[in-house]
Amino acid sequence: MDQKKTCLFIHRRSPYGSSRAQEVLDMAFTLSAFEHKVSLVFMDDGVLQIIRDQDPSAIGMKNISPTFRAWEDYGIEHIYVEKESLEMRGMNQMDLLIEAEIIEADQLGKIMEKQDFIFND
Amino acid sequence: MPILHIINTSSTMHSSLQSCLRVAQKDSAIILIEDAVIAAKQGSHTDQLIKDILEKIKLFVLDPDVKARGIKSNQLVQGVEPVGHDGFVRLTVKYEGTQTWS
Repeated sequence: MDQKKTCLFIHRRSPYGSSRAQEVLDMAFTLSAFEHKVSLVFMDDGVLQIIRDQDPSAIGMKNISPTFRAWEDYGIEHIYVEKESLEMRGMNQMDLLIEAEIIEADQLGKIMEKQDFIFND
Repeated sequence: MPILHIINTSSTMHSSLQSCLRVAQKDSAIILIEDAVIAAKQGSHTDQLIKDILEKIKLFVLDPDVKARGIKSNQLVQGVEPVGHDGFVRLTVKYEGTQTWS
């Protein structure tokens, strides 16, 4: 592709029940490294991917957290978190390991309509 | 870019329908396929929710999936529009983007 595309990745799954979260994240970072305009959204159980103090060592899974700390280096445009998903899980900005833009669902709907591509985990 | 939201999981087991409704804009449409179709049955726990959706957004169901689950056309919440596989394809062309909630 010669043209830069806007890509939105919607993360709705918790991080350690399967490897999907990590794999989709790898895809997002790869697209971003190839200079497409990539943004990430965390909603539903996806917000659990960016919670602080994750330690999956005892269940033999790779910790997903360090990947997120590299988001600026990879040129990810925006990281959005849907507000209601956070609230439903008793979470707020302080619980997150990265600085994210907390947005209302309606705003997310408008953002989705502006994308060239939407991907899901 | 109006979006066609595709939901394929049962609303009694998953929150896909609720999550989709939070973000769906007025110019978008929803189609229920596979296990999601049961949400459109009259008298189900989502009966009122489906009626509320229909006041704002177009709602379709994939007819072969409805029939497969023993639901007759007259048992669907009024206003829900059944489409065949061909109609489903046409919808994906009409709406520029699609988003699958599974």
